[in-house]
Amino acid sequence: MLHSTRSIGVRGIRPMLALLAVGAVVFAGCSAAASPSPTASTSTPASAAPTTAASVASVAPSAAASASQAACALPPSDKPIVIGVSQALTGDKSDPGTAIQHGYQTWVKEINDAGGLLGRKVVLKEYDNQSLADTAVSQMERLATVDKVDLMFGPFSSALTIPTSAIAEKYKYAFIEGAGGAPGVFQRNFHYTFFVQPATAEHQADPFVNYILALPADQRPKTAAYPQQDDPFVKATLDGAQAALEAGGIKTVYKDIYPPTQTDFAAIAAAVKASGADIVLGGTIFSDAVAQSQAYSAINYQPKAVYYTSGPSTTGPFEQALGTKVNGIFTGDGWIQASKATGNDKLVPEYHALFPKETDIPGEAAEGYSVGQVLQAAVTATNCLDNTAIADWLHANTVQTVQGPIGWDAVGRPNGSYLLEQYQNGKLHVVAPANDPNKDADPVYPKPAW
Amino acid sequence: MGARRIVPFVALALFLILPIFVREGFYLDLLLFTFMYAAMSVGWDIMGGYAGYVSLGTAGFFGIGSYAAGLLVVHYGIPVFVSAPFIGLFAALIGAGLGWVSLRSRGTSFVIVTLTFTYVVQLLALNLRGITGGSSGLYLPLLALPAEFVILPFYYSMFALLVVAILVSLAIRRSKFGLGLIAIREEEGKADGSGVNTSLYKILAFAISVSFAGVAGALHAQYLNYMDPDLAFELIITLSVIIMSLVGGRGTVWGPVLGAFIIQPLSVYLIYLAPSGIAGQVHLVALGVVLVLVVMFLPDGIIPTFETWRAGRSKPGRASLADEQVPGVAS
Amino acid sequence: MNWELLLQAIVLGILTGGVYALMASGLTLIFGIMRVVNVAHAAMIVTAAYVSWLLYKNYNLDPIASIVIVMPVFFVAGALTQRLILRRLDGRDVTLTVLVTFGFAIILEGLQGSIWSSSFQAINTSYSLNSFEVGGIYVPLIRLISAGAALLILGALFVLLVRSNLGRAIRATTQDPRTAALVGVNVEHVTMLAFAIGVSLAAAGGPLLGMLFAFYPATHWLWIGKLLAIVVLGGMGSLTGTFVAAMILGLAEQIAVVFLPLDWAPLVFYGVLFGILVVRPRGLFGATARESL
Repeated sequence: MLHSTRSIGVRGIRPMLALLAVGAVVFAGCSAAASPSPTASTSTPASAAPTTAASVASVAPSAAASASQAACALPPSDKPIVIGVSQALTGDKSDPGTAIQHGYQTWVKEINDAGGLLGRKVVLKEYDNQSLADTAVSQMERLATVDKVDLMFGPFSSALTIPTSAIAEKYKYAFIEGAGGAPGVFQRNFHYTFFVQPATAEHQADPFVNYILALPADQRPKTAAYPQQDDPFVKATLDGAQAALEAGGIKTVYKDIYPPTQTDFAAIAAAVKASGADIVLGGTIFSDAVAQSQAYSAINYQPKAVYYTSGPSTTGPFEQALGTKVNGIFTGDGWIQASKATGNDKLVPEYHALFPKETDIPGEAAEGYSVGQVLQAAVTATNCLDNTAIADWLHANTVQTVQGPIGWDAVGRPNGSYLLEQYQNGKLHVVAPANDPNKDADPVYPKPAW
Repeated sequence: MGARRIVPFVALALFLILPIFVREGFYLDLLLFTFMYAAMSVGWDIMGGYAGYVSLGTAGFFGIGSYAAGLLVVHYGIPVFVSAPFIGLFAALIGAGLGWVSLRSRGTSFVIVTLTFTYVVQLLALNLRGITGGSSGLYLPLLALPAEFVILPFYYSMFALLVVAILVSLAIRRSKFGLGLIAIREEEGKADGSGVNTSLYKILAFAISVSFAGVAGALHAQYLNYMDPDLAFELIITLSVIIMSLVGGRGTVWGPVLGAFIIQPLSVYLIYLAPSGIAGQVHLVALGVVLVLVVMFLPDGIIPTFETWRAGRSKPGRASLADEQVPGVAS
Repeated sequence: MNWELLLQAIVLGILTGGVYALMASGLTLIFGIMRVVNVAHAAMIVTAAYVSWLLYKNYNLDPIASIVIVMPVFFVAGALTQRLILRRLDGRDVTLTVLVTFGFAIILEGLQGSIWSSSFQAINTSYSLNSFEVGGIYVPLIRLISAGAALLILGALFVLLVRSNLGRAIRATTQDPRTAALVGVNVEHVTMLAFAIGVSLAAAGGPLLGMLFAFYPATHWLWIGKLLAIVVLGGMGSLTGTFVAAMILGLAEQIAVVFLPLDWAPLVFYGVLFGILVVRPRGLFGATARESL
């Protein structure tokens, strides 16, 4: 009588399925050949592919090849150098992701105006990973195996850097990134990952810690409070600071972690005050730094020092929210807009020219620009697009960037120092380290009353 | 008819040998994710299609699978390829527990429980930071394989997961159990009255259905080498699985597979075909719109609608009691 | 035992409970009339919060005043949605309607993210930080005002449901649509209006949410969990139940914060939700003639 629908379904769909699968592969192959992305043309696979030093043998020893670093000699080419990036341009991380991307773009414009890298035009091939790790991994695979880009930059955030750095390591691309600094990034002992900020998160508060511990014994605080937002970077920073302060004899009398959605700080402030802490290290991003300050002021809690991991360096909105209450607040930073570090005199005007609507340059843009500077230094020094040579060179050298001089250990951790900043008379000053060219004031302690 | 019987095995052979000819990681990555989503969709359909109980909690079980696998690797050194089947069992047990809470009555409590379940587990992953690493996440050691081969275990294990899911779904469809589930979807009151232990059936179906998400989560954890409470419980997992099943055909064995093979490549390629940034902006909205449109205008999905059109019938083509055959009788 | 802290928690709990009651009232109303869990309910609240935030940012319109604007606008949007989309699904599998509301939630979240990015926003008025002190207890002004607005609107809802013809028709349809049709109620029309009222109640909660808490596109998943706990505890479809449950859970949440670490507070809602479903699925006041939960 009636055929069972299920048997028709079984037999009917398998051919469609197989056709679809084959079709998908064929389609993918065709689209790869057609190279649909409007941002760049792909480089030829042969000469510019990132390979190990074994490829040297295949390159003809022509007179044009630079004789200085014989490790890798490139035939002259006028094809553009393609740098691949999978970036969080939309989604959860879109704001800082876009800021870092703007930094990359500023560097690219800069270097092309100055004649290019190794005399060749630089082109950025960027894909939006929507802040999703799976998408980032897929795009990294595409950049490496289909687009076969020459070089790579990293995405925003440690969460995206950790999986993508594994892909870069697999295909031996130097993975230079400016925003993945959580401890997990360095735990796999990768040779090709380089974090371009002055120091890793655990050391961001070092200048503050050093200052506190260096105070004469009668002024030094005895107790500290650590109210912090649930965030990996914040946690790493405060854990590092807490460990160092405790080792220096400063007791922890309060520590609590609040969710990022916390807006009510009255209870937290009351608890911190009740603990009697001499100093407060707040693990903040921005709005919670403002809210904590307001809450402490409202209940008349006057700590001897206040350090926020992040927030005060967004000077405009921070000053607008707190007025004179900003004075005495400390924070850490890798870069300031008025910095005298190498390249900043080019970054600032170039950025403003490209993105005229933004009055303040976000810190992430400077991080992105530094990544470009690092790559430029390595490529120029090795005179090569050999990623392994680039990685080896970076491990052995220090690069001057807009964030100051940065060098790396064997797994890509930077060995520089963050700045310590403090609000004085309504303005943010650099107060440490002592030998930094940007230092323009000494720290004030204890903190003036709110 | 004889030729058609061979086709499934041809497709099987095709996917098995494909990595010999297609070496680029990008395509293998695309395929393994398609297999993964297809397997989870087939699983979802056992509950959402056969029994008619829509689960909004796939991501919760995926995340449980990820964290269970991750913790076993990090603390006890047990590789995910060994622990994966047990994690599937573990997910099934939790599914049974959740089912017991919400399935002894009808309808609404199941939707509510599966929806909130994902966020409960996410909260636990976030707060039990001593165990899970909290918001910093969990890092897994990389597989000790040469670069060209490292993707292959994942390709084949996801494919195996899909094959198992399809076989399980086929088996359920041909069994008394499957008949019971369909009866529950069509007329639960009557099924209850005629002696079917509806609560037990529903709980069992749910337990089986979520086990695939658990295994997928476990394998995925090692593929990415990393998880955090955001990554492991991404909403898009739940959303994709539902759309794939609906588009392909709810209540059929192959519908969810077809849906996955359509939706997943489309999602990935959208980024390359649309101008930079636009695809990301509209991705979520587009998926939501697709869901609403499919529910309103193509609620049975492609396969049943296709079958109806082919057979010229006026009734929907998906599985229904009217044309179910008694298992064992030749068609 | 810090009695002052506890008393502070109780005061905050009562004030917040009032706002929760408003947010959840629409959800329970919609369930009562359509037997559908409106998965997009919290997303609608967040959308209204964004609208109110825009009005405040661009026109300096006080969020409380913006309630007067968002409520009618969302009422119309709700009525259109019900009429054009949801009504087509009448008579079909009710799970399809739930899936559509799930789709709406996704669409709303996606639109918010595309237009305003995923940054946290909040409506900070000039009086946002003000609080006054009563016997050692600090009462934040915005909590007081929000609770007041919520109670006013809930009071109006109560009057509507008890005293007006529409209200009687809604209650009749909620109890048994077939009987209601028999006595002359235009069930289709009443359903559309009730859904629209539910959506406008959600909209009223938006500006309040924006003032009291930070919000971003994905927050609605956190809120729908809380609202579902409230309506399930109170009894799906029962407004009295929702009010009582909102108070209970509002108090429980603030008191829990005194004793538990801050990040465990949401667990109060989830724990109650799962517990009720195991022990007494129909909730405190739930009892309808149609099939139970």
